[in-house]
This record gives sequence, C-alpha cells and structure tokens, in this order.
Amino acid sequence: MKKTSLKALLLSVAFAALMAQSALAAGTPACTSIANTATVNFSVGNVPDPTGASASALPFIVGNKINFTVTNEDLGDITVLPGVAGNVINFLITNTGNADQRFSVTHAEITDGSTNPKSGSADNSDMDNPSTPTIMTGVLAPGGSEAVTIVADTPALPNNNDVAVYALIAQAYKVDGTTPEAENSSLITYGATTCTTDIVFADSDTDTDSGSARNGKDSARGSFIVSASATVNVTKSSAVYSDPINGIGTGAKAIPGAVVTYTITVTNPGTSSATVTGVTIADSLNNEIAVVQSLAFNTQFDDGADTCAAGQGIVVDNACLTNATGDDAADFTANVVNVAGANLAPGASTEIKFQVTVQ
Amino acid sequence: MTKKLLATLSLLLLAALPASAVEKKGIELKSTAEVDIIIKNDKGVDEVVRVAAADANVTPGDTVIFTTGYHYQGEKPATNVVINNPLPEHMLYLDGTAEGQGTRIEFSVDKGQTFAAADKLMVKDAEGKEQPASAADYTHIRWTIEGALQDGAKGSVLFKAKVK
Repeated sequence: MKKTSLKALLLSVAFAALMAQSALAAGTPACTSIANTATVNFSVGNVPDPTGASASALPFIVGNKINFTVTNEDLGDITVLPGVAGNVINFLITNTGNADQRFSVTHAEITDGSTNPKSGSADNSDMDNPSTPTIMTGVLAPGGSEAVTIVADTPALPNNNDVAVYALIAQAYKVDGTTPEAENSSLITYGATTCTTDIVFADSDTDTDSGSARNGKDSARGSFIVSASATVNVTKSSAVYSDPINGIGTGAKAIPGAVVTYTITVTNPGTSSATVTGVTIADSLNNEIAVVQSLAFNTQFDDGADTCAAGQGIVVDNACLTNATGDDAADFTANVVNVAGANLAPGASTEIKFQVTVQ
Repeated sequence: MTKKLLATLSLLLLAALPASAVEKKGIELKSTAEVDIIIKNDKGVDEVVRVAAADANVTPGDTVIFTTGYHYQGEKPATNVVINNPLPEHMLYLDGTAEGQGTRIEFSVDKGQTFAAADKLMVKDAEGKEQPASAADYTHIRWTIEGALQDGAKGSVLFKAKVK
C-alpha cells in the first residue's frame, strides 16, 4: 500500500476523539517515537522457563497535528467616535497543535451585511485604513498564544450606530515564517527536534471567512460601532441688561420691567478629539412664564452688541435667529427656547443668547 | 540382530527429533502497532483498512491498536503463560478495549508491582482517599492464558490506546 493512499480520513471514532482532544492541551509533541514492547513468561512442567521472550512493535512517529484557535478578546462592539484614528479590535491566536508554529495574520472587511457573532451587530459601514499591525506572529510553542489586532480609523462624519465588522484570518506557517503549512509529509522542526513526519490539519472551524475545516486557516470577527455620545459642557448665566429706573448698564436691577439676558454656552472640551455633531439645546421657561408668571420672553433681542429685528429673539454665535419654527436653527415654541444642529470641533463652543422681561 | 539394531536406531532418531527442536522451543512473540483508516476503494466507497502505524498519519488523539501474537513450540505444555505489556509513554489506554481469547485480563496502576481486574483497582486521590481507578491510571496490562499451551498453539491479545 503506497503511503500516499494512507493520507485518508481517520476512522470516525478516532476522529471524534481527536476533536475532543483539541480542546485540551497540545498533546504528545510531534516527532515523538512511540514503541510498544510486550514480554511473556511461562512454565514448562511447573518449572518457570527462564527463556521468556519479548517483542516490540515497529515504532511510529507522532505526526504534526496543526491546530489553533483565533478568538475575539473584546466584550462586544468596540465603540468609536467620529474622526478618531487608531481604533483597535483585539484577537488572540493560540497554538493548540503539537509543534512550534507561526501564523500569518490578515483581515477581511465584511461587506455582505453579516454580523459579528460576539455582539450580534450587523455590518452596515466601513472604517478607514483597516490594517493588521502584526502580519506574522512569533514562534508559538504548543499551548502558546499571541495577541494580534485590527486597527482602523473612524471616518470624519459617520452616522451614529454605524457598524463595521472585520474578520481576522490566521494561517499556519512553518517556523521559518515564509512557508505556509500544507498537509503532507515533510520536515518539521519542533524545538530542538527535527523530523520528517506527517502534517495533519485539525482546525475545525467552518466559517465563511477562513473557509472549510482542516485547511490550516482559522478566523474570528470583531466590530466597531460609531457612537456620537460625547461629553459637552453647558453653562448658563444671566445678567440684568436694563431696568425701567436705572436704564441700561451695570446699575440695572432685577426689578419688574427689567430686561435680563440669558447666555448659554456649549463647549466640546476636546478630550475626545472628535467633532461633536447635532447638538440640540432646549431651555424651558414654561414654569417662569406660564406657572409663576415671573418672566416674559422678549421676542426681539437687543443687548447692545446684537440688535435684532422684530421676531428675532434668539442669538446664536452673534447671529439673530427667528422665534418661528422651520426657518432656521432656533425657535421659541411653547415657552421653550430650542437651538438645533450645532457642530462643535474639539475645543470649540457655541453661544446662545435670549432675553426675558421681569414681570 | 540387524532388525534390533535398526529398531534401536529409529528409536534414537525419534528421540533425536525433539532434541533438534530445542532451538525453537519456547514462546515466540510478535508485536504490532496499527491504526484503522478510511480509504476509498476502487468503487469509490469508504472502506476501513488496518495499517501499520509507522506507515500512517498518527497524531495526538488517534487510536492505535497494539497486538501481540504468541506461538508456542515445546515438547511439554506451557503453563502460567503471562503476557505483560507496559503502556507505552504518551499513550492513554482506552477503557474496555483489551481482549484475548481464553485469557484473564488484569491491569496495574503501580508500574507493574501489582495487578488486579479493572473493577478491583483502586488509586489514591489528591487527598489520599482510595478511589476506583480509571483507564487513565493504568500503567501495565497483563494477560494470563487460562489453561496450558500445547505445542504449536497460537493466539493473540490486543488493546487500544489513544495518543495523548
């Protein structure tokens, strides 16, 4: 029987045992020679025969079972902010075979809308400049592992909750780091041992990213999710602009008839190094106007610096905006001052002003 | 006289025959290590074939069948025939696989010092308590052939073990 014809599937029982084994330690090192020796003793005429005998089976060499796992080490989606470079998904490659091994590392961008099984999030977008900083692992001894990553940049203006799924694919390489492993009989090196033995792929994964089982490739997925949630600082201050007695100036008091200017400042502190988009401010004066009736909203803003036309009661960054809805970013509706759509670069701020009259 | 001499000579010749068998007197053992593999036969159907382990792919988790054949040649019957097989290093005995027609099969968990039937073996656990031994504890397998082996008797014993 030619040796090549023996490269066949193992008996199912043995194969099942092999699968169970793959979850355990790496097993007997490749290149180990195993012999079996039996001895016999007997008596003739009730006298122990001193000759005895022993016999040994032809030793066999334990082949190289190439097996390994790739796992995503993240808890789920990696939350990323718009415009941020160098976001990282973490993976671990573990050599569960029985000889030293290296692994090439590549990535694939998922484009078919399928999910990251760890988080259940479906891919609907891509990141910029995805890469795998490690393209070849070091030599991993049986049981050894190495952390590898996929690094990518978030686009400047993604949509909130955009998900980008990536697969990390590892392929078994010989310790030289240049020869991909193949199922055959060839020279292998395990530690200080070198032998010519059979190489058998035992990787059991069957996902679409790394192909069929027992092909020397394994993969895992990870994903990024865009979150626009960011910390912004909001401050509100008030100053009496004028009163009926003292007029305009520092002497103005908050007496009935006095005009008070409210200033709301929204700042992106810049710690996220991301642009905060779509900031919406709503400041309700309903209690003061409708319930306590202590204030009235001034429909025409004028603080000396910004003098607005009739119907323009809200000033955003020194631009007069109308009190009506739908025509610009600000409105005064149901006793609430609304300003929408502010975009704040890191460190930038926006200033909103309006005035009330003390009743 | 001549007749008597011839008879004496033939007796001597007959007596000399067993003497000439002295060289091959005793028990001859033959040991093999094999694996079962599936190959496609000429009709393209999967077929289980048992081949020498040395010629096959054997990797951790694979099952190896170790067979020891015996052949007795001797004038008088052989008794107390015991075949002793230490489990090879890196091999894990598969429970219930030892077989041998007309033999009593026993195992050792103390490197061959003592032997007992599988259900009688005890080992000490981490706390020093006696526990029934499992196949993973076995170090040796012993087959004791029941009855005597006559001249020319042949047989075989075997066990299966998994590469750790």
